[in-house]
Amino acid sequence: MQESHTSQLVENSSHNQFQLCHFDELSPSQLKSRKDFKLEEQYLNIYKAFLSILPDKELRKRKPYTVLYLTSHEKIVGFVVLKLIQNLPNVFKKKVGLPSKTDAIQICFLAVDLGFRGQNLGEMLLLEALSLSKEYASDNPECSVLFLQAADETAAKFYEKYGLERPKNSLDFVYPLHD
Amino acid sequence: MKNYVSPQEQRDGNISRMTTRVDRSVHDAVARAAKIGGLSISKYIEQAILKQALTDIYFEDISLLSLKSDEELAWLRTKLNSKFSDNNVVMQKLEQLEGMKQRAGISYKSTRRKLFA
Repeated sequence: MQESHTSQLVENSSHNQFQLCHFDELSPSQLKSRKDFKLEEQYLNIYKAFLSILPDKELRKRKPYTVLYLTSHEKIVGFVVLKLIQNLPNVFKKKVGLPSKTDAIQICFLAVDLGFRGQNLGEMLLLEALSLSKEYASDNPECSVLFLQAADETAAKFYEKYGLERPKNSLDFVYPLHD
Repeated sequence: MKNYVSPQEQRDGNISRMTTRVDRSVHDAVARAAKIGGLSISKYIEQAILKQALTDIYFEDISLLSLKSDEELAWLRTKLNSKFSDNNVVMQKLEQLEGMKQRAGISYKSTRRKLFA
């Protein structure tokens, strides 16, 4: 019985097409594949520059962040970068009526390789980021705000499709993390 | 002195527009570092500035704080006073997430899930 259960697990595991993982869980070939990540021309320069700052141990000490990678075999097919903004400025909190100690999470980069579009992978990365943010906020009640800035109107339409909202004529999306 | 375009300009335009003018003492220090790193000086400077600029954009600049008009602030106050579960579209999508992941063959590589750990 135990053996059959184990082989079932192995079978399921090999069937899995995609895996979610953190930077230090990437295999050497997946790490290498970051350079071959395919994006639209207008985002490529930013992505390449982004590669040079992530991961940065010093930066991570000063500014906590998480990069969640979506991989398929030996390739990175998508990723989402989330950063923690500890204690928003007082002036801002006063303006919008937030408690004196309020942290926020920003989704600052979400992308899916051009060759893997059309499989709702971006949607799942976004929802996973929302779900993890909600979990973090439950454990850390001072973290009550999630926001992201869409790169352009096309990206903004993507976020709107999944229920996120923004002020009129703005690319900034805001979502409460508390219940 | 190093010059690079502001985070706002970078967001609006192409990062390659950045200038790479530096003073003599910085140039000499960079030349030594570039030699150790096996890069040309201009390439090294370009990468160093790019790294600083990107750090500013993604880890220092908080665009949310630039919402200033009364209309935007009123919207923000209302939004932040609502609850996570008030948004039915998001809640429905999140309920479907595990099923969607299963159908797409997505799983976590390890049990590590928490953010900022």
